[in-house]
Amino acid sequence: MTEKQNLIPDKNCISRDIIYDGDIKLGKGNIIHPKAYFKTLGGPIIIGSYNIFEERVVIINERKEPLIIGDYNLFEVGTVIQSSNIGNNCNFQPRATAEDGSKIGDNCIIGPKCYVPTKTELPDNTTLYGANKRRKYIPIKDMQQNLHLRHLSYLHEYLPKHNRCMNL
Amino acid sequence: MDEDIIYYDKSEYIETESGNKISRKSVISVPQNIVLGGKTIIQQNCIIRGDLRRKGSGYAVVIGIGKYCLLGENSIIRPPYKIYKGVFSYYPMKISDYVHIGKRSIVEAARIGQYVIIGDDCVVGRFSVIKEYCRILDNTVIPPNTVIPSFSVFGGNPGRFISELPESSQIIFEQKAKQFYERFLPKSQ
Repeated sequence: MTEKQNLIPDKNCISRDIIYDGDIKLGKGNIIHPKAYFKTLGGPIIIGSYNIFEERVVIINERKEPLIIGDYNLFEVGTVIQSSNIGNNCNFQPRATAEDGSKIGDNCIIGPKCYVPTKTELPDNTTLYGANKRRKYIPIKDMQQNLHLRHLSYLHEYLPKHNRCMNL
Repeated sequence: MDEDIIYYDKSEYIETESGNKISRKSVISVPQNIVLGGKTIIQQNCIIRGDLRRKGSGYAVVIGIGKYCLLGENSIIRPPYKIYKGVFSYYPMKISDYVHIGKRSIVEAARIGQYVIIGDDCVVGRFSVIKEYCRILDNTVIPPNTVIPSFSVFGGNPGRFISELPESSQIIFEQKAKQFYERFLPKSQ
């Protein structure tokens, strides 16, 4: 694992075609695709390292407390995160929604179009799928992280070639 | 089948020589990697990712779209990705003729056959294959790697087989697609 981590640069690769407002703190090695949207109305947004944010991801913080996102998360197209804390190694599939004040643990998978209702806490290793049927299982963590790391290193190489990016 | 004419603002759309109508408000990254078959309509706020492609240099078709297609408002077309033989890469995506994709749909399929209608708010997973003459209802979620057979109607979350289509659906779908293109006209001053 540690060898592969060296392949990923420490810089953040952020497309210029995004909308952002307020206090946002980024870790290292994050990727943000065009048309993402970040907004704070109260406390700051604190993002960890090695996350991928795809198109039309919306992250809004309306609370006074900071919104904290961990490491190695994948937010796919159209995910909406409203004032909720997120752990590590999570996978938000297209159009997943986390509503006000929810809390999501580590290694969670939120399936397409599923939503986490207000003020719920998802324990670690939870998978939401279909019409919100809840299941619990332990994903093969190494394999998922392997895919994520390769995805990251690919995007770090190819995203700046065709899009105008900021390297921070 | 006389339906209302859809008028659009002439300054908003670009019309190419082969009859493609592309909104200026859509986001098309790296147009060199995208092939349009002609008479295709791309509506506003549509995102097409042509920059996510296989490793290596040079010209490559990432997204091929046939003729008489419609990409609705706010839809997103992006190629699928996977690890194959230890190498991560994005793979090309093929959309055939007479394919309608509804509003706010997200498509990451590997191949979409001819005469397919995808409804509004759908999510088509990575590497799913949709064969010819299919209909995907509104609000359907198709999981990754699904193969949808010909003449079927899919719906629900996760998507399930609901019913069959008659053999005449080819003619109906073709007529619908052609009529939509003819109904989509610039607003006359």
